[in-house]
Amino acid sequence: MRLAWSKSWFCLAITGMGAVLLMAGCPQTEPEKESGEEPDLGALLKSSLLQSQESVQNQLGHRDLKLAFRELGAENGFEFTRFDDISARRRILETNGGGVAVFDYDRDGWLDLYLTNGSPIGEFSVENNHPSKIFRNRFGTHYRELTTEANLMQPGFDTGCAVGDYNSDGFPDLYVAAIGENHLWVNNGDGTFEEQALQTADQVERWTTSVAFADLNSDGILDIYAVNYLDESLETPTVCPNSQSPDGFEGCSPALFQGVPDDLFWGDGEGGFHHATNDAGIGRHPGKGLGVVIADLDQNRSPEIYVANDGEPNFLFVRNQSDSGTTDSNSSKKSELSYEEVGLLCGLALNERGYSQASMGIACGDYDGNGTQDLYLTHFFGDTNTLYANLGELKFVERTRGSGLGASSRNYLGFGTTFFDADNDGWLDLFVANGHVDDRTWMPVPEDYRMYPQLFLNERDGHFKEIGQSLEGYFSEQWIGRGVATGDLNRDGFADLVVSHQLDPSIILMNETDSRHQSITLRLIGTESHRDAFGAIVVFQTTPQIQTRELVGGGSFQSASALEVHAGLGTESMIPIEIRWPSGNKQQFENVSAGDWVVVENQGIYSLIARPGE
Amino acid sequence: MKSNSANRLIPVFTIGLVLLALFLWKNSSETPLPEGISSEDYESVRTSLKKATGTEPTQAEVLFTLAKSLESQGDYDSAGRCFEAVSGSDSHYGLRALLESGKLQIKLNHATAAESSLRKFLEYADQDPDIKNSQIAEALDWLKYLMSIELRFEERTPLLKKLHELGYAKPQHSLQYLFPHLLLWNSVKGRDKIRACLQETPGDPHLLIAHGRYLTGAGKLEDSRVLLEALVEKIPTNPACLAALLECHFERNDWNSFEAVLTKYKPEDKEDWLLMLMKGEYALHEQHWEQAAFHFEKLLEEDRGNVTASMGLAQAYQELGQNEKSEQYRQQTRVLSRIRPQLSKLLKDDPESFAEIAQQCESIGYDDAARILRLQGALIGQQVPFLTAPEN
Repeated sequence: MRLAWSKSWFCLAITGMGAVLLMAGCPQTEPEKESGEEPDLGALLKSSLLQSQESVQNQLGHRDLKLAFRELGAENGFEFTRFDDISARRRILETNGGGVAVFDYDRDGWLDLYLTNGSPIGEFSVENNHPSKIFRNRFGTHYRELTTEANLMQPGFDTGCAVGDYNSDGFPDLYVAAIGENHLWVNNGDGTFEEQALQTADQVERWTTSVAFADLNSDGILDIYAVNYLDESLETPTVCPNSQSPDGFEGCSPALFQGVPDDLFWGDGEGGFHHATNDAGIGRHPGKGLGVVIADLDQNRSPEIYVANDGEPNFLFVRNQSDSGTTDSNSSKKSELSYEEVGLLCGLALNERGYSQASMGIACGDYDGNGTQDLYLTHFFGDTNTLYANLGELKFVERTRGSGLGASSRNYLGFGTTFFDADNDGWLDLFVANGHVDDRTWMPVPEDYRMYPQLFLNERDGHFKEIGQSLEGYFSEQWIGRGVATGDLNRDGFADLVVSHQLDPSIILMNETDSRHQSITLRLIGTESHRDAFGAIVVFQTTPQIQTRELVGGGSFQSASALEVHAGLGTESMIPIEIRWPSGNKQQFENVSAGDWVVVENQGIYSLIARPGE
Repeated sequence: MKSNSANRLIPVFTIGLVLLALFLWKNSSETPLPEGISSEDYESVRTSLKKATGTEPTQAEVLFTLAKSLESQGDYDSAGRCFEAVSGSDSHYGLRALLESGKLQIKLNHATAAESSLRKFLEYADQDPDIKNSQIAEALDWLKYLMSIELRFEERTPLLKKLHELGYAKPQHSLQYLFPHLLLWNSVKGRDKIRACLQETPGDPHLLIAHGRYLTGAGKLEDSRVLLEALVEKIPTNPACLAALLECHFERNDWNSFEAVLTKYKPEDKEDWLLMLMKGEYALHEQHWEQAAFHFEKLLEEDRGNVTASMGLAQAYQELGQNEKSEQYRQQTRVLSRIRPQLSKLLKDDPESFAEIAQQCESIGYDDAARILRLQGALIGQQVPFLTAPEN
């Protein structure tokens, strides 16, 4: 028994020792994983938590040495700083700034400039020391302010502007929008303007923002579409107290205000206008309009009216097909015309998530080269701007994602915007003027007031690359950008930009891009179509990509670009072009060489010669 | 003599043993003081309480009171330790300590621990007659906050529903309950809070998923993609994680990668709203209209005010030739898109705004929303802070 016990204990001891030895051989911790087996979440997390500018820098793209813009300002005679009575009360009236028109008012071949100005708020006086101003362009690099000489002095809080030869006398006229009474200035052809009464008895003074001229039914007579914003008083503006603000106020949200319907004026062909808002069905749709473009989006010679509304669904007005049973423009009298709002149906009212956005400015152009006019809208800080691709037949799809225009716009607040071919390669590039609505640097999570402008280069495959901040000068500084217009101010074949700012001087950006690419610029003169040829579509037969350009009404924000059609030719110097006039006429020219041309409907094409220096 | 000495020692020894036993028993029923808490602090509070109540306070009561005092002084870590010490010990103070602990843990960015504390509190609160509805509402509110910043809207909804049932729903709660999709979620504050929580618990999957989504929302798509792809490898069956990755690919407009995720992981959406939405978007992209309608309809059952789903349905039914249904959802989209920017007005205590939006909700058959909004508007008009209910 004692031996059996001893044996048992011995076996147990041996077993135990064996177990201990085995355990000693096993690692006590998890084996180290080979690198590459599993992702190191900690490192990934750490890198994503770092406040680095890497992802932003990557979006900026490479420095493009070819694109260059020279700033022209006071030293060139272009001295203008808009007055908006910006104050600690942060009234919403102070936020929008003004617009700019680029047009050749004296028909000397050089594009002149008009910029709108504000006035004291709540203390309206005829002795306004802040008039809107006109600058005569002298050979592209020098400007002379001639507001008094042009008889354009007017009191008021001016906002947007539009240009159109409403009486077809060959001299472009000026429609100036305002908070209160809008004004139509008739160009006398002698360097002066004369105010034309526009208001009718039933016209209510409103806060008008952007305006567009267009010949809506191709009867050869210009019509006006004026976009109205909010029901707000200039005399007793709303304020929104906020005790956390250093000044005791915060900017009021547009959501606190009622929207108002826009105004449509039919030209009567006798120098006057008929207020047709309700008759045409526009009055049924109150909105908070900031931008407008009138373009023939489905190329049926009946232009559509697209309105960008702040925080509400955007409008797309199309001619009601029940009018005379047809949309054939020439068969409808204006008195019989009405519009139907189809923005949501066509995919233009909201973004793809179903959200209505802030919607300030609109750029209109064929960015993807498929022959139809696309739309790009600027929006609020924290949101992305929106690119709508035109698929034809009034079907639009949002293409912001993956275009390079989405994420890059999230930390900006965009206003004026325009497609333009910056390097004449035949593809439309994009400029955006940014700047916040008021100073929010005091907020717990501060937001920039001044912001960088953005320039996006079209990469010819549906994508854009942001290159603005890689350029020197203007693009490397921050501004409160508002209205933007484009035109070839110095007739060198490259499209220039004019930007209206708040608080800082407005500026001309002379395009001095170092490129051998040439361009064609056409000024169209209608004979059966309206003289300005709004709605004309020009097809430039460049290779490999055909370019389609339309002379649209409105666009950008509160601004009017030159009424000229511009197309970069890339490596070509001579191409065929086709002009589809709003009247239905077509003209084709086989070999049009690079340069500036005037095309007269049903007649011919002539060189546009800017008057030489005086 | 020797036996007499021994006889005298035995009782002494026995008494000593008894005293020792008593001493050990007494001390064993009290937990040691939490780290960083001095016995002087403890004694000071114990004495004050005894003086105030006339009775000897329990350790739990002392620690609870001490914790509140430390919290008010900003010593959150010590306060947290005190609460934790109480939460497991005494049933009366235990639950209350859980609630306080949860709140404090949120302040200290310990999201995981906070959720655990608050959920545990809510699990047992109903069974404790001493716990008031106001305390349950408080716990619901804090947990709701956590779910909000972590973008776990599906889990947030029952919390909000309970708040309404208890009668403690404020206007903000009603908005979040009725329109979770319409309210801005990718706020800078939420993003920063998630980052801070991740510093404390870097491995928490909920936090990582939320962080990935915030990166997507901020347009940092490459960072988001890399993080979420790595996370999906770790938790491949997590529908929220898969949904977040799909959302990233959607924003990148990378349908190839999107498809690859669907093919590889075959996610079941169950109750994950984002996954339903992404599947709907994919179906639209592929022009599988019936599938798109299926996913969006399912999503709308869960999130009645989802405007993206409404818009998707409008498109899907249009393509399917069901024009009446398409027009119905188009109208719904229009109304919801108009409601969205107006929601901020509801937080400014304007009774008219509630009535206005209620009317819009009625126009699209969202009657529950209309009812709740009218009630909230009426209460604001009466200047009653929020709904009240009798204490249980």
